[in-house]
Order: sequence, then structure tokens, then C-alpha cells
Amino acid sequence: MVDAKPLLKIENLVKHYPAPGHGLDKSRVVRAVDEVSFTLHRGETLGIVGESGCGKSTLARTLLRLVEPTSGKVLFNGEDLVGLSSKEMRARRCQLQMIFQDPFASLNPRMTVGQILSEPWVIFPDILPRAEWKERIWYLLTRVGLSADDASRYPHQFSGGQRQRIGIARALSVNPEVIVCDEPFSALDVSIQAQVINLLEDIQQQFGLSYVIIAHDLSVIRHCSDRVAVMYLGNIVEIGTWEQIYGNPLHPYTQALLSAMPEVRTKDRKERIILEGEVPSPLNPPSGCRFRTRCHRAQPDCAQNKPELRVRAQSHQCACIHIHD
Amino acid sequence: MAVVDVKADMQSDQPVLDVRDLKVTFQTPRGHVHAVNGVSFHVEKGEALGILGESGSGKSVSVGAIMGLLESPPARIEGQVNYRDTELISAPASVTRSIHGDRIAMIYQDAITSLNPSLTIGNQIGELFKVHRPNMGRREIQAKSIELLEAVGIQPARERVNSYPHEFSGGMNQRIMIALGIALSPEILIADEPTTALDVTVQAQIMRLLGDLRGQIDMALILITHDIGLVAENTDRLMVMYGGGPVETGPTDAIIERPAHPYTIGLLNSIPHDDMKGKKLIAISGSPPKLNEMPKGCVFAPRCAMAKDMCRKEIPVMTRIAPDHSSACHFAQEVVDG
Repeated sequence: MVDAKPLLKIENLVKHYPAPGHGLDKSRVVRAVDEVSFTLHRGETLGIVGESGCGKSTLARTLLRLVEPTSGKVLFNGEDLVGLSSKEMRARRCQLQMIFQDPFASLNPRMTVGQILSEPWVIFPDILPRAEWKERIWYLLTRVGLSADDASRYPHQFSGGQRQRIGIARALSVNPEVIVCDEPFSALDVSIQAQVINLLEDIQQQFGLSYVIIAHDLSVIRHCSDRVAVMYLGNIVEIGTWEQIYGNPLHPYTQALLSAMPEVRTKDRKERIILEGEVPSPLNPPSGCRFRTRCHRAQPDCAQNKPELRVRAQSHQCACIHIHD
Repeated sequence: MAVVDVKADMQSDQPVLDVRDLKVTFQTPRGHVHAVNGVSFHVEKGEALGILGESGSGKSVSVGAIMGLLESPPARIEGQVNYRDTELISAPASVTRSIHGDRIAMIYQDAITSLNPSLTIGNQIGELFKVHRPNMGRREIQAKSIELLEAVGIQPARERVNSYPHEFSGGMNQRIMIALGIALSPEILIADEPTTALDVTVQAQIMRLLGDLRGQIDMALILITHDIGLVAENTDRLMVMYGGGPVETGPTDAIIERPAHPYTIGLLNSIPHDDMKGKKLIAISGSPPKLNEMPKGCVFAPRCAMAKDMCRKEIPVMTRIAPDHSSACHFAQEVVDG
């Protein structure tokens, strides 16, 4: 079993955005992330899957306070990040880094790769003495599969996969403990995606990193994660080890999601559960269980109470009132 | 009697679309870019052909040329695109107008930017009929538009026909585009990444819809995608493209079970299957070639683990390894035999 004390503990995290066009009416809000709780242990990878609009990217940003949470706690090594001043938070950001989806938009086009990698050291001079910068840049670049000469080049001179490597090197430059990866592979071609997956696994082992990986691709999440959380409309509906989620999915949404995954090999194909309609608006989520409007197993009582995440087995939790052991 | 039979047979044997040695070159300030380099394939009546490739493989430019969507210049198009007895590249616009959008229709990845935001969807469907079926009356067009929306699952069609694209979700807009695509009962529907912008649960809905409609109107489908899972589940035959040309063609199942090109093998290995859990993925090294800096010899050679001297010098030709299965690799037979 992993270290008993989690590295990261999220408690009832909420992010509500004011609804567009309802400036003064504070009761109308977009419930992007609603009461989300989970833990991340040292050296572990937690995968978060869900479709567009489920709040997974907002969750990622809220963890690092790139957007301010409405309420809830983000406990990192026991300390709540939510209450920290921006100056204190800044120092913690060295330990919590992020890799973004779009390697074209997330690198400053006017800085060389060397400048991009050394920028954090300008802001936090304690990390690395200036005399060691050059050597460290060289080390980071070769570590992520680029060459030392690349330090003097600009982002536009690289392909998408190479830029994602630069993004990874930049995250590594401050010696983080946790890296939150928001759709790190989705902008990449299939043949490049596998390279970057392997790279993230290598550096995890070498640097003892913990990951929160957010993705919509279920096979990628299965490959990379120790534990998996499934999100729907701002809530976690099921969380468990990868074996539990993929081998014995309990929530009807998880079951439908997994069945919709296109499989290359005939033997991997499951009977498809075709969901009706699309994800409802987070502005006005359905009462009770938010998934009930699309659920193939919905009952009238699903509309009444919001199902809580309940423990179904060791480390396996599911939020559905119609699952009985 | 016998003569009639022979004729009927000939009719069914002839592919609906036969593309031969299609080449597309763009003239740019930085020289010629060979986007498509000798693509040949055919589509039989009612069958589903998958075109699989990564960005820059030439898959979208190929169908752009087939659909007459490329402006020339800068594009220079060579080769033949035969729709039944009509060669489309050399045919005048007066001829192709009755084929493009009518007998061969196309749907795109991004539905919301492909639809006109200032026209109701009823008007957009109606416009198709006004142009291609001038004899149809207003009432008939209205009835047909509603029928089409019902066919693609938009409810209640009678009311929604007067809505604008922004009033629908992404999946619903994709359904509307499919309604436009099938409106004139085409013989071939070209779908360019039709579900890439959609979530998996909606993708499953759309692919089922396309499959159902295909059965109803006996329409052939050309499915262009980068998703191997999607072609594996939805196509009969497959063409894998890389660096502007086909590297492998054959029945989809045969290619997945017995891939005959190192690139196809690389792609299949790149997908994280469940039995790769805890193991390193076998990735293809390097990145795809730039179209203006094509390698000599085999375009895949710089990334190929099996490449030999010959591969860096001579361009491989399509070699048949089974009756309907070909690979553009100098060592195709060895690749299949493993």
C-alpha cells in the first residue's frame, strides 16, 4: 500500500462561475466543479476522465489556483493552499507544476527555449545558481529527448511533439513534486503520443513525481494511471484503481463511456451502450443525479436526491443510488 | 437475355469511384510542396473505405482534389478521378456541378463552422434542393427537409427546421451536416474526421447513425480519420497514408491482423492496449517528414526500425502480398511473415 499520508488531498472543492448575462443575479452560476474530493499519494498517477464540459480542466486549474476555487480545500503536504497569499502561493508553485494541452499556445514565441527553461530561475534565484544554468538547461533538454543546441532556438522551429517536450522540461526545471497534465497528448499525432507517454513515465520514475493526468482518451488513461476518477457535469461519479474502473465499472456512466470507446481489436469490443442526447448545461444541471437524463438505468427516484460517493469496495467509490452490493 | 445479364454484371463490377495516380502539388514561395504523391484507390458501391493517416499525410488534400475544392493555382492536380464514366479533374464545371455535392457529398470535422450561421437549417437544406433539384416545389422541399431531420434524429423536426446552427449543440450540428450530406441520396459520402470534435458517447451515436443511413440508401462511405479504432469498427477496406501517399491498402481486418508495412505496425503498437499496461509503449521514433523536405527513397525510412540501405535510395512501389492486400515496402513479405 502507498504512503498513508496523501501528498495532495482535495476536499469538497467547488468552482462556480457567474452565469453569462446575469451579472447581478448571483444565484445563477455555472457549476463547473461541484464538491469534488480525492487524494493523490506520492509517486502515484491519478487519471481524470470525462467528456467536454465535465469540469476536468477547471479542476486542474483550481488545484494550482490558476483559477480561484469558490470553496473547498487543497491540502498539499497537509497545508491548505486555498488560504495562502499570492506571495506564499507563488513559492508553492515550484512544487506543483502544470503541462498544458496546446504546445503551440503555452510557450512564449518570443523567448528561446533556453530562456523559457531558465525563466523560473530568474524568479526563484534560490533554485539554481546562475553558473549552473547552462549545464542544467543542457541536462533538461537531453532528458526530454531534445538536444543541447535546441536551447538557442525558438518554439516555432519545433514540431508539436517537440514543443510538448519543451513544456515538460519547463515543468521539470523547478524540481516539482506534482505535475498536473491537462490533456497532454490530445494535440499530438498517434505516433508521437506514444513517445510522450513513455517520456512522462520515465521522468516519473527518475524524479519520483506524482501526476494528475486529465484526458478524454480512455485507453491513454488506462495505460498511465494507478487510480482513475470519472467526472460528469462537475462531479466525480466513480473513483477507483484502474483495475476496478476498467474491469468492474459500477456507475452506468462509466459503463457507457467505456463501451463507447472504439477498439481496434475485435476481441476488445464490448456491447455498446448508446447514451441518449448530450451532456446537459452546467448552468442548470438536472436535479438529483446529474446523469439521470441520459442514464439507461434511471428510475423515478434518481431525480430526488443527489447521490453521494459511497465506498463499494476497498478504494472503489461510486455515486449511484441503484447499485447494491 | 444473356447480353442483358453481362451488362448488369459489368455495371455492378465497376467501382463507383476510381482514383488513379492522384498527385497534388502546391506552388509556394518556398518551392513546390508535394502534398499528395500518387494516390490510387477505388470505392465499390455501398462499401465503407477508411483513409487513415496523421496530420500532413495528405488524406484531406486527396479528398479536396476529388471534390474539386482545391483552387488551381496554387494547387496543381494530376491523375484521374473517375466517377463511373466521368473523369472529374478534366471535366468542365457544368459537368462536375451535377456530381459534386449531389452524387458525391462531403461532411466535415467542424460542423459549426461549416454551416451558415445566418440561415435556418431548413433554409440550408432547402438551398441544396433548389440548386440540384430545380423541379421540386416549396412544399415538397419543406416536407423533405423535415423528413431528413427526423432521419438524423433531430426532434421535434417540424419546429427545429426553423432554428439556426447556434441553437444546437456540437453533436446536433454534426447531425445537421449529415442531413445535408445525405439530402440528395448520394452514392458516396466522404466524411472527413466527422467525429473528431465530439465526445466518445456522441461519437458512438453519430457512427451508428452513419451506419444505419448507409444501409438505408446503399451509400458508399469514405471515412477519413487518424483514429484506428474508428476505422477498425466502421470500414470494410482501408488505405493507410503516410507522407503524401498510401503505404498499405487492403481489407480493414486483414491490415489490423496482418499489417504489411512497418508504419502500420508502428501505429498499431502506439495505441495503449490493455495488455501494454505497465509496459513501455513501442513508439515510432522521430516525427513525420515536412512536405517540402521529403526524404529520398521510402518516405518512412528515416523513422523505420527495419530500414536498410535500399530503403534510403529507392522509392518502394505497392506490392501485392494477398489478393486484395498491398504494401509499399521493399520488404513487405518479410514484414508480414514477421
